[in-house]
Amino acid sequence: MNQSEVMTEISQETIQQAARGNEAAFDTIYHATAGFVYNTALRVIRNRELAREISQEVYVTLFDKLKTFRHESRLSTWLYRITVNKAINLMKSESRMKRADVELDHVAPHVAPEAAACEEQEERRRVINRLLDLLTPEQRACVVLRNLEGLSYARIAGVLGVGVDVVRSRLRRAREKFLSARREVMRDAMS
Amino acid sequence: MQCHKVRNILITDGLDGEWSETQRRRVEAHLAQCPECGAFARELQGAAAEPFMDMPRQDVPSDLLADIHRDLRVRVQARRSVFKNLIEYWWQTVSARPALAFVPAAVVGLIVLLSVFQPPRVATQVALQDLSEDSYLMYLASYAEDGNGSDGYGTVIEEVFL
Repeated sequence: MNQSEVMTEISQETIQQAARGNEAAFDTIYHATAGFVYNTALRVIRNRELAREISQEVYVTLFDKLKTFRHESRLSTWLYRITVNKAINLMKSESRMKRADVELDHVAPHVAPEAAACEEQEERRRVINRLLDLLTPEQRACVVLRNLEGLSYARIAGVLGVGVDVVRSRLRRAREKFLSARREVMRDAMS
Repeated sequence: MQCHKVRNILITDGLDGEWSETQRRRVEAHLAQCPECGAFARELQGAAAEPFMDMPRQDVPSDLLADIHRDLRVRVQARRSVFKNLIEYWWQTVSARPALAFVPAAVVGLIVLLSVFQPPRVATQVALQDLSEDSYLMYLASYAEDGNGSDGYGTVIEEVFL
């Protein structure tokens, strides 16, 4: 299943109520969107503390800007955009990345480790982290939105504010890097 | 279809299923007869698709919403308290010195007075006009008295044409 389908779309009425300061409506939006906001941030920034910080900032921004939200695009697209932009900006700030680098491959799984299945998942997470490490922030955002969130090219273009051809080109470059990395691993294994 | 074109499609649209039916059929026809491109497709699948397949989502920290609420409450209180502090400060000042209550009224009155009573601009314009007329008359007089005997009248052109 396309992972983006996990997120339920929020009614216009709920958005308007939240914009008027209704706490329950705000919580409804949070519960419907927090999964993809946190996971997108985590996969782009690859650090739990920073992902949490970004998610918190995203919802504070949402609270501030909800009154100006025009229903031309989906709320989810808007939230993806805020999340990805914050994550990319944070990634680009050198000092924060130094902090993030320390944690990259030593992130303990959030779910309690349970035997081999969890170990396998953890190994896969490490592989993904190593692959994402090869990419620029923009390429990483494209890969996360496509491969992990399951968004279409058109929707990724909408989130990032670029053309579909730019999305295609970033994905191509990212996958060429994945291919090179795989070939290198194979060569090392052979020798 | 040439191999490089097929690989170009496979690496993006093909891998993500963003291709048209015609494109898909043409690529698959090529793959059926080109072992190198077939190997490339499998390699691509292993390098760029399989690692990301069915990756479970991470749980959102359970106390994140509580933190957001706390953050928002602080913001709302900060906004309210700026206004509240201003009112409180004003009230304390006015209680201590009741005469200060007339200050805003005096400021408003002054603004109204300034906007109603404009400075007499017309008089200035008249004075300027008079001055320009005076200087023009002086200019004419100097022209008449320039001592060349022409009485300030007649030019070379007039002599030729009249």
